[in-house]
Amino acid sequence: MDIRSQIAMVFHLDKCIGCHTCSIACKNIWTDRKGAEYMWWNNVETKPGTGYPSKWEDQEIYKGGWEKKGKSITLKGAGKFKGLKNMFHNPNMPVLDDYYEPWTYQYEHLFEAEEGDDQPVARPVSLITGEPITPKAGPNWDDDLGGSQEYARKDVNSQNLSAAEQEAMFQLERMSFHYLPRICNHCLNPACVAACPSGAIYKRGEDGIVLINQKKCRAWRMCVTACPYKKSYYNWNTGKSEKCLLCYPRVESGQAPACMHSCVGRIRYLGVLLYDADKIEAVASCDESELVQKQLDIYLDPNDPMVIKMARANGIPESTLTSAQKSPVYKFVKKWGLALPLHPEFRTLPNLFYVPPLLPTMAFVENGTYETTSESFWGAIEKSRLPMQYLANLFSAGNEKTIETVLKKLMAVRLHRRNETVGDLPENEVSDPMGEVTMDKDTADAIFRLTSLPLFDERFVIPAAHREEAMEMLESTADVKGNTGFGFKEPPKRGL
Amino acid sequence: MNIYPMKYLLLIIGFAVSSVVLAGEGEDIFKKTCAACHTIGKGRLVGPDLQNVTQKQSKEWLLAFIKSSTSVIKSGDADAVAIFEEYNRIMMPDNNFSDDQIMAVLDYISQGSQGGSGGSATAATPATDILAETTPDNVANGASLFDGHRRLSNGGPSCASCHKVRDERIFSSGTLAKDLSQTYENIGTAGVSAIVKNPPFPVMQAAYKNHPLTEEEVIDLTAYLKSVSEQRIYQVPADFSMFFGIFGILAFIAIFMSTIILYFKRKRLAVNHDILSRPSKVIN
Repeated sequence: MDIRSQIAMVFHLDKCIGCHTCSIACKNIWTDRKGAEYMWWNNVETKPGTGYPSKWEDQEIYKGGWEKKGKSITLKGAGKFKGLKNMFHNPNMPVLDDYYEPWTYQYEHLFEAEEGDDQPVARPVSLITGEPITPKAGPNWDDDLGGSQEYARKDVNSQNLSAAEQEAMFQLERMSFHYLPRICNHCLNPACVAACPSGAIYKRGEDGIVLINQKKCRAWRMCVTACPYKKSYYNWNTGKSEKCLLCYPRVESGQAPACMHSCVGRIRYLGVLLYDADKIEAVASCDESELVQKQLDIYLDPNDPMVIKMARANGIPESTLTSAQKSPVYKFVKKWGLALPLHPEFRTLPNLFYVPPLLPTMAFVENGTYETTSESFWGAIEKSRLPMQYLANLFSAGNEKTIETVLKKLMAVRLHRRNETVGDLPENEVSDPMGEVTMDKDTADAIFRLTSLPLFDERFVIPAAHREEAMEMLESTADVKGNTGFGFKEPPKRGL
Repeated sequence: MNIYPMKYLLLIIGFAVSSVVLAGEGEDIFKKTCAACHTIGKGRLVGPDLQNVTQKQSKEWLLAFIKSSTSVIKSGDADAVAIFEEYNRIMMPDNNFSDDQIMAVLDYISQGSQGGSGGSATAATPATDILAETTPDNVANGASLFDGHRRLSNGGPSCASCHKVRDERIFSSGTLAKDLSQTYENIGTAGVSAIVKNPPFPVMQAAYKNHPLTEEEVIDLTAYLKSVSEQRIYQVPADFSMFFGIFGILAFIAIFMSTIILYFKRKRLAVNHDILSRPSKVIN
């Protein structure tokens, strides 16, 4: 057993209001630079929809992630031969039009325009060419367009649904949508790291954050293709690739990442998970039907004395163990089994988990009126507006059973709390769903508390960084004592 | 205090010392660079015997000729052209020596000339014909040394790295330097062995400075070049130039076609091409 610690995340989709505050917080800190304007390390998509970049989930187009080959797995679009083949022309890589051409508005024109017959306007200009453009795409161009022809109906996740089901999904008064905020998953088996020919991408030992070394990056852009979530971006100005760094300078100083800190709906949770690195290959190359369960099994119980002993032996600091025990992510993912990875079939073992949305159940039109009443208070999970298969395609590699269990648990909590606060439900209408998912009242109350009333420190349990220990693994600090300290890391252009 | 006399004194001392040093240097340079082709009073080798050369020509002429014989010959100087024609049109390599160094060499030559033919020693002239006892084995050894099948024992680069000969046995050879097919005929055993042993050409000098050839290797290579020179009119080396051209064109077509096939199912347009290519109503 090779126990390591990983900073993992949970996004509670039921709480996401699609305000894009996270995206703006991220953009203001990290990607508000020349060459990075088109990047959204954090973006919020409307589902059903094609997302950003367009149809990123369709690996027949972009060839990202891993695919099973024999007993193990290989990269779908990178590797020695494929990499060589696509070295000078990589047709699987998203082009700028697959993202969007970033633009701004000529605001100065409003003040500086010559006097004339017309009202001056602020024309959109491209941030790449500087020429006036007509924006035709954006990072959230299909925002809230849950039933649109161009976007929602081209969602990759609904392609394996029957024609009738698809039609039902998009009927007027029946269609629905939810939001899907996405950042880098800081995967356990990252395809970007495996694909990089320069060895510039690495997964930090102490917290599992995946980073690109900007000095080593040689602009091969294999990571852009390899990442199935398309969360590695190429900066055309610096000639280097960039990606979400989980705000590691903030995390190291005990602050939550900017997107999480700014989240209005407070949907985001961050904490440590302990996992067994020896099992990664076996889990990543298991059968698709077992992927979710096997991935969840790789994470270990931080309260297990055996696990603690092995973790200590592996050099995991005590503070990290303590925060692993308090981790909200551990509770959502392992203890309660409410959160699932996004697209586990890409086999990268992502560390960002989603509590799937418990969308309203189906209403129907009767006698010309929109009828929402149903025989039971919330309606049955099976009658969700979104077909179960659709959510299963998103979060459980097509396994409907997994997603149904999670939704039933969420429903049981609601029913229990309704009973607690209002008490107007018949006894069996609460106890039956609770019994079905074997949930006791204390657990339901705990889920309710962490979902709706968590304190800041409960949502973000960030371990102390221990950079000093990470440094000591790389070099003997005593050797350089007195040689470093006050000075310049990069030589100044002039002076000294 | 006036420091100028002091300065001149230093200069004079400097000159005196340097001329002594340079006299020794003259001998040094001559043996290293000139002796491969020239003697002082021991008869002609590749180039002329230099006995009394300082009396035959002016110092300015010698200076210019030693620095760059090529340019003197090209300038049409009658003496220079005559020497060039007389000695089989073999160009003397340009030398990157300072005037002082050349003067030192000339001093050394004039000293040697005064001593007559028995004067100062010149190492290059072999007392006997080194090819007297060669066998076909020597020629075969020379061939394999020439094209690099056998390494030179001190690790020098094989001749074929730069040179070419007309010989069916040698499949490919360099075109960086002179074609050596006719060299033996032009300069004979003494010239070839002297150049191989102690090359006067700057590039060869640099290449073999730390990797000198052994006596046996010199004999083998000289014997081989002799046989090449004798046999060259019977040799018909395979000519690959057409083949390379045709192969190049075919390979290009093959690679081009395979690229088309390999990339046939590629993503050609942006995913949202239909949406993006709609006409816009706004006039830019």
